[in-house]
Amino acid sequence: MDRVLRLVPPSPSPDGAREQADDARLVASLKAREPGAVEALMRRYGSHLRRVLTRVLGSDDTETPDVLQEVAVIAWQSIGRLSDPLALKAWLTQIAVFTARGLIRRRHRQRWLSFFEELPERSVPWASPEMQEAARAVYRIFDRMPVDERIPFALRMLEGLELEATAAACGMSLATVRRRLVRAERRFHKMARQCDALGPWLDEVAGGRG
Amino acid sequence: MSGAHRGGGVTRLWQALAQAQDAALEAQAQAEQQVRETGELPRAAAPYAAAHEHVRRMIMRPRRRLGRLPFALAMAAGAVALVLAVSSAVRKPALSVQLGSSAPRGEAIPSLVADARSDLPLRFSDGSTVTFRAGSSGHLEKLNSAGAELVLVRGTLQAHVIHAQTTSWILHAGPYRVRVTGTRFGLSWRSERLDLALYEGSVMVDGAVLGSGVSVRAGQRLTVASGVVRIEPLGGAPSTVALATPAARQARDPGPAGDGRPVVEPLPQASPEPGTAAEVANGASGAEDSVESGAPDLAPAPARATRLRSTGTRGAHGRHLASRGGKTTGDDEWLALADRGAYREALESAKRLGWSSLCRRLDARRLLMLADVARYSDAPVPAHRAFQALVKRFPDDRLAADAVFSLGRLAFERGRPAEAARWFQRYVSDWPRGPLAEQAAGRLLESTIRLQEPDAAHAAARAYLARAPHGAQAALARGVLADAADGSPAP
Repeated sequence: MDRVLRLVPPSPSPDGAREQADDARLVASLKAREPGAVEALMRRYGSHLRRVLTRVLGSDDTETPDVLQEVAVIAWQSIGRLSDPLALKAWLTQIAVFTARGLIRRRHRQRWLSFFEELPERSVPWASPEMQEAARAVYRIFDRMPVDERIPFALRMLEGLELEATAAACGMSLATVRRRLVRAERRFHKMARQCDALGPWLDEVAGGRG
Repeated sequence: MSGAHRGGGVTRLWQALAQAQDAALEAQAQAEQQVRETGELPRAAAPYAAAHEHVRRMIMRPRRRLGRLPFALAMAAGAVALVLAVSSAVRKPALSVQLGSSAPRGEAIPSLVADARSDLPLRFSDGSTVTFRAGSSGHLEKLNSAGAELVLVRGTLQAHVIHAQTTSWILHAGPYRVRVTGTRFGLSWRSERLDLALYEGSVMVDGAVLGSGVSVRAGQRLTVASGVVRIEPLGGAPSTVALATPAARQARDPGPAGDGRPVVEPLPQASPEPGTAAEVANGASGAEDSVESGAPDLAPAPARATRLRSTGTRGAHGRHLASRGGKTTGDDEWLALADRGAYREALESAKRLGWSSLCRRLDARRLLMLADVARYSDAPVPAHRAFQALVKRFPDDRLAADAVFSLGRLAFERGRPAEAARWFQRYVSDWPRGPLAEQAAGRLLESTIRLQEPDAAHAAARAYLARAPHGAQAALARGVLADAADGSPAP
């Protein structure tokens, strides 16, 4: 996280002014190393970060708590580099994305070193069996995609981030993210067509119901 | 997040997956809320606290940086690190298991049958143990590096799962699933009755009437019998409220199975007040369904009493209610009463605020709570109004699906199968992949049977079998179709 990346200010909301003031106070307390500041940070943004990580890594990933923890640590260590307190949420999102990217890359290396194709199965706890099967299939495909395609694709499709926000979260230019999304989509569809569990979803498209 | 710009043709897949993930996150957050309320902060369940603790430790013990080491030392450290990285990158081997005193083995075991008079212990290579009690049976489905998947077909087992960073154990008992990350518990599945006693850690249990799952923590016992879900202190006062509350009476009804959301009864009070469920039960059914009276021996061998923890007196449903949303002053009283499981009092309190006004102004979550308060108080009319308000005012909210299902169930219980069929049909049509879709399809089948409309029953039976060929109502559906083939009337 040495690079200073473009940051997107938080989107305006009815309580925008209050939220901005809260963020400013939070950043100040983190910079002042106040006790409880990290806890307050995670209380405020923990669920958002966990959602982002879930989109990227999948539900039920046993390492999500570790990644979340790592994000908190990096945020604590690097808060001095955040010049605009209003960009706190986007900044944290970026840290989460970069930390998850590190984990995915590490897993790819482990897979290569251990000569195993097997990766942790990620379903969605408590969902219907069909949905669990589809979730496992989606993340199996994600695991076979290049990480710099997979992450923007997951953020865009699952989290519904706008292009600009996706680019900012991934530390890419708009043109790059656009190009990678196109590639990712093509790659995903190619692999999805070979996957039985995703057949019904693709059939729906073919049948015009999607 | 809007899915409008999610291109790629599989928009529905992305939306459904995102919704399922959101639901899982919400369930997790609720489980963590429970854990926080009790003061227990296991790392896996409370990453906020874990993160905070980690930061605190890092501040206290800053790491040495490689750049500060002399070059030669750095090179040596680098070489060692490389070796370590390579060795740690090699995948952790799958667990092996030792059955009794036999040699360790690394594959599934299709049949585990404990002798009628002796236990069958399984010892896993990570130190975890699972003991099938005498007369119990099951099988070991899977073994992998993170844990194992076991099925308890019948009887009782005791488990002590050793927690590691990636521990993932799953135990199946009938239609229920216990997800474990490190804990000690006893599990029993006998005569369609689930009994789980948790001595350490916490687990999530889902399946059948538990729907999206309930969290059980150390010192608690979960029982599910006849559609009634109960969570109570382990080794607490004898539970005699069973099957006395309205929810329990609903479960006693020979009608269809539960609606997928847990009906958790309030915990027993120390001294039942006149007219309360506990008092009624004491006078009525005695200990007929008491956990203590009917429960198999789930106690671990040593020092059970010393491991018990105080768990307070609130039921899981109460905690669930308390954890939802902010409160306004006017709603404080009925919310607090509902929180304590005093549903009748909560109903009276809510009525004083004006039921119609509440139905008009409450948000979707509180409307669902309000309806549940009425339902658990055996007040179907106000429950119906609250559910209907939810469906009408928040048709796109995912809680509307719950309300539609509940309206079907209420109608069925009030002897209105035509109305029930309409609600269940709506659920199946509007939320075909919803968590209660299978049950809605089953109840639709039952409603059409009760309506004595053979064509509708056959259609419902076919639709059910297409959706759930091995579901709880599959036999009924096949029976309906077989009768049709024989030319005999629908049951």
